[in-house]
Amino acid sequence: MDKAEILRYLRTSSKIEDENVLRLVESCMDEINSTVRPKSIYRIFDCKVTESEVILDSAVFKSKRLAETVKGCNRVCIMGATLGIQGDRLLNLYAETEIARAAVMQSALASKIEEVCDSVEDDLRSQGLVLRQRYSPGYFDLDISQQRDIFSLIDITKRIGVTLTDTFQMIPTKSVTAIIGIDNFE
Amino acid sequence: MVITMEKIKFFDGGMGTMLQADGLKPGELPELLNLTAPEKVAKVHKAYAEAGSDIISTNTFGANSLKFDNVEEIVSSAVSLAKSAGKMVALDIGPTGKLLKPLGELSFEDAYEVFKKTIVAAEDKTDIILLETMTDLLEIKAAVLAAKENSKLPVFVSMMFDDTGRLLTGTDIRSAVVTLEGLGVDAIGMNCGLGPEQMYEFVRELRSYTKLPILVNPNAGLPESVNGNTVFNVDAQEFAECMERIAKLGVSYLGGCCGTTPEHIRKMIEACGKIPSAITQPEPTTAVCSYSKTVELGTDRVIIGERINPTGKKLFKEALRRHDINYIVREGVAQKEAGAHILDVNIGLPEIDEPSMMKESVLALQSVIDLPLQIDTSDPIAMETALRCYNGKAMLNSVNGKDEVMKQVFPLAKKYGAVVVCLCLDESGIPETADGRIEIARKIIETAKSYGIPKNELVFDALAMTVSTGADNANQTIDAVRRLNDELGVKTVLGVSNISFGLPNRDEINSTFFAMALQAGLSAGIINPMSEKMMNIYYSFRALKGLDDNCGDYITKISAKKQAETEQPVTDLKTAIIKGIKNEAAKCAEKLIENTDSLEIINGYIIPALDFVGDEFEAKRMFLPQLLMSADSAKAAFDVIKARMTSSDSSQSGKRVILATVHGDIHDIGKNIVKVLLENYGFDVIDLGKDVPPEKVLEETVNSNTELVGLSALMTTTVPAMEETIKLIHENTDAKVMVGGAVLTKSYADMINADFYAKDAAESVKIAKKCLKI
Repeated sequence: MDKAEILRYLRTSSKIEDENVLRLVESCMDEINSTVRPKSIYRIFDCKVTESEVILDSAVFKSKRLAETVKGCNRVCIMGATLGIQGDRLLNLYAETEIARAAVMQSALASKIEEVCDSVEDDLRSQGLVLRQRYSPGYFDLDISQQRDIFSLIDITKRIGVTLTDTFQMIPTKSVTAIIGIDNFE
Repeated sequence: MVITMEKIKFFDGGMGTMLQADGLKPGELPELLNLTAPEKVAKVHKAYAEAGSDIISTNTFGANSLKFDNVEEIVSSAVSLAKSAGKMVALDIGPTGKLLKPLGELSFEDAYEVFKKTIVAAEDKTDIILLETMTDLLEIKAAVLAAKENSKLPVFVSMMFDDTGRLLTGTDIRSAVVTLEGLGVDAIGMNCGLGPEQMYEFVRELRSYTKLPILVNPNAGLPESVNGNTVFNVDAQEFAECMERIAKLGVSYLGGCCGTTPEHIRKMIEACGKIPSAITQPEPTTAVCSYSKTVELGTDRVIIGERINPTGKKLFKEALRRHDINYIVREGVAQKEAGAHILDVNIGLPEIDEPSMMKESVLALQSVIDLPLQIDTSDPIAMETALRCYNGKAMLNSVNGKDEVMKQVFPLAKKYGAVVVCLCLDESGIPETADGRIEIARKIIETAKSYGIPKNELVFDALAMTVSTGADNANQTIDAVRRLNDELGVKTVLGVSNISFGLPNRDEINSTFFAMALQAGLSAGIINPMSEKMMNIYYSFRALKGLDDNCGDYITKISAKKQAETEQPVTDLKTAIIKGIKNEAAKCAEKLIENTDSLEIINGYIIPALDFVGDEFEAKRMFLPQLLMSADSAKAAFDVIKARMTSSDSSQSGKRVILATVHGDIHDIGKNIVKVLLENYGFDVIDLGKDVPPEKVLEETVNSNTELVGLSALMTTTVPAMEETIKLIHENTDAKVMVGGAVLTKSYADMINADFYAKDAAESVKIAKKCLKI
């Protein structure tokens, strides 16, 4: 987790010198690292990319922006990551008892899930893969309802416990799914 | 002691991975094949039967009404297909795929209905109901109850543990055992997630806790991604060798999960076929648990927090009448922080709907606190409602020697699993002597036995009678505690503070009496953990009794307290709030209230400090965390003041605002921030929570005659729900609506006809002031 990033999420100057704030951020980071158990999965699929679609064997992602992002790739990685329900428990607890900590925790958890996603990418890169930018349902013209396709492609509910509500929100709330283009050269 | 039964029975192996090898694509639903390609399913069943499996599982893992409209058809076909293999058949049921409330969106009752539909569809034509790959203890409870209430078949529960030995929702092996044995399941075990190698230690741990038959169905190793495909790398030979080691730990059922094939099963049976099936009888314990924490009443002594109880508490009663569940949660959190191990939950007040309030309280407490709860009520409906939705195995307070009460309580304790507090009184009241109380205890033990409840599931309260009305009262109670321990061999509990009723400085008598009771063998004290005296006695006793290694707890708990005590406030209240130092603000308020009127503190210190911070925030000289730390500090000061207010003061509630996160939206941090700020400015906030249907917002607005409603939405997908809510409120009331949330802008807010747009939490306070003319 990155303290400057957490402060940025809180719309707070990273040059802030208020010791109470800095201590609160650090203490949230510590609590997350000692209680949260992140989990992630990914699978690699062959794909065909057109102007406006990314076509997999059993799903089609309709988005010009995504198609542009993975243009020229013959394979995509579909990944899912979550901080688990403990993240939500922390948010619920501090919403009742200490709202400042809840807000900082929210940002620190967001930073943590980014870290988990980055480590999935690192893992892929360590296998010699060259990756495009991570792209999630809901970004620009990739409809959020395509979460459903991602969920069934990587069996994310069974494997790491991420569930999808009828309005396509994920629970645990600190969860991310994404499509990552893999360049053809290695 | 190990009991040996015949031989191990063998389940089949993976179904999904076999079907995938036969052409099923990722994302396609394997359960549909029961109808569209039954021959493929039958082929897998047959292959396992030929490999030697004794029990074939139906291809119904995800066959539930959340995923399919034609559950009956799918299940019925799947059962026939499995039976055609000519072996015993298990109705295979996986998780619903949704997370249960309070953290998820699916209610316990809805989850129950989903499982019930699948179970009813199988018409008891199978031999076993197998709940497998389960990852949420509460969901398991819904499924077990659905099975037990709608079928006569034995229920096996198999869970997916991760590499730390926990379920995805945090449950440890011990708490799972305590809960499921309480619910009376017929076998317990694990499958999926891990390979046999990784499961070995967890099976050993499971064996050490449970008296139930164990089943183990691992994957063929951990999933690995090879060339983009998920593969399982443990071959049949290696699988069989690992399973042989597991078999020798003492199990009753073995099989395989993802990646295992008929060859794995055949080799496994070759290796394990001659090993006898075994179960053990661990020492009976007296244990309760939450979803992730087990507390045993045994050698070490236990603190049961008594504070969630309205008796004699003005603010608590008011909170109950206002339906302020958050107040109850905060009482719980404070007691946990003070060192309680179990929390008593009593919300009995004549004018409230106790069953529904009890249920709401249990859910709310369990969404943030991991301590086991003690359900404290005399209303059998409230009792059952709470036991049913409780995540774990609860303590139940209480039963007594009256026949009528035992008849009501014991069946509930037996059905749901609970450790029952037994009061040593009966139809003729509380016996004066220890002899009389012991006699009642004997009767209770006998009666419990007739319901199938062993005495380790009972804890006895010898009852403390105030010493001010009888010089021998304390002696008789202490004597009874000692004899319950020594003669009856049962665990004991005591509501300690009754002893001092009618006396001054009650903490003095209470703490001394507590020490006496602990020395007499008391297992658990129902006390106020916020009382330093009581907790000092507790930690001192444990140190002296050799229950505290190197006096570690004594040193950390008591010296930490002393340090906090000696700190005096160093600033004034206004500065403490502006700087956002919570403890300091509370201390300053304590000091001020000694000689300052509460309204003067609010208007002269708290509000000016909040205004200052609000202005600085707006000018971007202070930032959100600082604004909120000030808000928390102001709230701490308010809490001090409120506790001192007379009832006439506190009934002057401020102007009311309703807050809700709209239907379909589960992100409520923004709404929670707004709530704290509004409350600090004296607004009376009705918080409807998250995912609130439009009709509910309207109903509350009308019922409470509220003029301002605040709605939040985080995602674009839920803004339509916001628009609908606004429309409903405008059509039916004169109330104004303010909106806020990450996706909203001023023009968006206008488009959906909101009356006000709050760009941030500070803005919402300004809007509320303007709108309600304060």
